[in-house]
Amino acid sequence: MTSPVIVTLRCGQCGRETPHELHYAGRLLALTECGVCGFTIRHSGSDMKSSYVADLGQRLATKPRRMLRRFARHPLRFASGLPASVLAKPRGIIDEWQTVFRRGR
Amino acid sequence: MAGVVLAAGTGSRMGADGNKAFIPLAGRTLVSWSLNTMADVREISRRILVIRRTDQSMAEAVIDREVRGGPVELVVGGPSRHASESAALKHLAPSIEDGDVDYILLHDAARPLMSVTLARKIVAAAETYGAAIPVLSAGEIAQVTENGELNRTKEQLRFVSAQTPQCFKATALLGAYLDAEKDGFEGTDTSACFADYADGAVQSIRGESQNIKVTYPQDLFLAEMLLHALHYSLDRRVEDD
Repeated sequence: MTSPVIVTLRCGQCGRETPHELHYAGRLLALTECGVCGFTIRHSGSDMKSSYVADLGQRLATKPRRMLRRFARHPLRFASGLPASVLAKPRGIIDEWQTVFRRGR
Repeated sequence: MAGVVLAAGTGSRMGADGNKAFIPLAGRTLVSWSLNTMADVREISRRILVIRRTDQSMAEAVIDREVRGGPVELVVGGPSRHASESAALKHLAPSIEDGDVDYILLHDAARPLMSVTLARKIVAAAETYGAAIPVLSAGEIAQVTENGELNRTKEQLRFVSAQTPQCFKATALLGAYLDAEKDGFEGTDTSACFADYADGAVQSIRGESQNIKVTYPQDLFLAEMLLHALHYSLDRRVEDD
């Protein structure tokens, strides 16, 4: 499961402004959960899977261009951060797959 | 003209770590959608982002990574929307007094789907009327008594819900906020302060239904779907990052 983003939103069930956990799979929002009443909203399983696969494909296709742009902006920062990014990326993708495919079973 | 995106004073009421303005939406933060749209509004020559002090380093990173179209000035806001607007106006005051900034377009970061078309319509209306805001008909609103019964008044009133971006003549807006500060007045939005303290009316222009405000978690799902339907382009294709 990916690390959640925690942010204050108004809960549709308890009606209060409460901390919510937001879980993402790549660029897509997969699940939100109210930290007080537990009210959860999920992106529907089959739609989420197809959306995620399409989004992942688009991210992979544009990755070289995005890396090139970051390199052009900050060559040193890009080079120094590259090893850590390369090592972390597979774990990140596995987490995303778990978020999308495990919960859909 | 200056474009101001208000990203302070949200997400802090319950002590949550995250500021709503920096929630990811379709691969970039809410605030960067608005800043990139402002980059495409050719009337805007300066962009100001009003933030909480604790968000400064995150804001700088987001601007560096996600925002195109030149520099964005950071201003630390206050505990309320009014205080944040006031901070932005004080930051701009020398340029307003010099005549370098003639109009100010203010926008709430919680509305990431502002389109270039809407922003330019509001700017054009403000240049004609002095102040303009986008509104949508709020037809489903009904009056109720203290007992909860429908109040069937014969008086015909039209209710609208106000959106942002809102645009104002800069000298009038700065004067209104300085006068409001003397009185200790705090308006709920920019137009409320302008209406009370500046001469002249605020012109309403039809807003856009897609220009939703992220309040509930389901709004994020809706915003994501709308962006997908718009091919992630709020009038012009934005490079993803």
